[in-house]
Amino acid sequence: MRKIPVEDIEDDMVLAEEVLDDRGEVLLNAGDRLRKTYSAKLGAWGVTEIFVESEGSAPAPRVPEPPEEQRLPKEVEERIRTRVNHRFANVIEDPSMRKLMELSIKRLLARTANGHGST
Amino acid sequence: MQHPGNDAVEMDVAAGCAAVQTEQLKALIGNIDNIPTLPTVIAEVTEAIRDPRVDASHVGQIISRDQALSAKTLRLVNSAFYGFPRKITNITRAIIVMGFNKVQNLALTASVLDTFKSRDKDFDYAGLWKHSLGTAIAAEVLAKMVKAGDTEDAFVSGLLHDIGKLVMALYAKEAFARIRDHVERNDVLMLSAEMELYEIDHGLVGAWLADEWKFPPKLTRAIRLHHNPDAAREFQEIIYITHASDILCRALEIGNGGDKRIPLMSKTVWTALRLNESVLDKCMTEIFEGLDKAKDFLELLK
Repeated sequence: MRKIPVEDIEDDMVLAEEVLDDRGEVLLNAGDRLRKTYSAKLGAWGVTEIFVESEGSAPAPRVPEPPEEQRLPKEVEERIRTRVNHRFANVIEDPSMRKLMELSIKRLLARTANGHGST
Repeated sequence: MQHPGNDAVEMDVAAGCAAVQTEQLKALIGNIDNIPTLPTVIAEVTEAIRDPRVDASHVGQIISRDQALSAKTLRLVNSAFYGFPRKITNITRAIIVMGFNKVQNLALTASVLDTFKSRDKDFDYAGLWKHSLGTAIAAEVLAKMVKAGDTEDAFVSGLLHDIGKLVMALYAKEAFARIRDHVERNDVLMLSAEMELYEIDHGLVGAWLADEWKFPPKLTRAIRLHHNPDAAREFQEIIYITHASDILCRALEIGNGGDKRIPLMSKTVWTALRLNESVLDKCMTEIFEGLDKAKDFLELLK
């Protein structure tokens, strides 16, 4: 098995070790087949690296449900995105600032969903 | 805080503040003799720890003479932010456990928070302090991540970077009200409003106060240039870290810096600190964790 950053997750990779959230609850089980889209979801949970099976050693495939998120109501999510977009409006042409903006949106959504509300 | 730099640097800082924009400063702040002072023990402690032979109990006795300051300092020492398993009950023990610089910085933090306690219902002091604390935590996190020389100085620099705004809020109320009004109506950075209306910015005002309070040049420079890091000719590391931390903190909407816009991060700073998505993401996690543990710092405002 090998350790990879969550950004490098590709479709059909197989998880070698279970992934826990910051409260110790299981997000994904060993043996789960991964999707590229899990990368952002795991990132929102603060997971930066995972262990995956090396090629050729995968157990039986199983495509799990994505990690359960505490989803915000759509209007709350939209409000946060609009507000952050506005704050970054003057600097958004800069690719690095755009990346920073996307990261902050991700963090603010996760923090709000976890009940921290306004900082 | 580290010990003050050499005389040439100190003179440069003072000369820079005095020569370039004293008239604008005077116009903005009015009676610049009427500045707040820090408790005398702060200056005495700074002087005492210049001597490499000084011991913890001597410095502990100095701080303990100011009971209110000691109590507030110990409150910060025992906060969840530092997470000591057992309560530290006196300043001398705090120095033994945490070191001179850290305790000095905490005493400075406690006295600055006290000096600038909220007196104006129109201004969101609590919001500005939260932004300052968030920036301090971000600066410490960034400093560790980029393996900067002194994470302690980074924390203090982050905490005091916007002190110029507090000076204006308390000592230039009319001008500050004009600036805030301009920010509100035009939805611009406070920095932009300050430059447009008065041709000076809160970085200069803060650096002037830091100079009056005899802060080390490194700290004064970071306060002065946190919005203009490309102008730094020395102490680049702490200036870059303070610049980036301020922006990170705004991006995460921690507290209230007085405006609703994000400044552009300097390209020099992106490169020098080797910031990338992964580093920023990790920083953001740690910033929120630190903030959750730092509630005691904000309690001191009450």
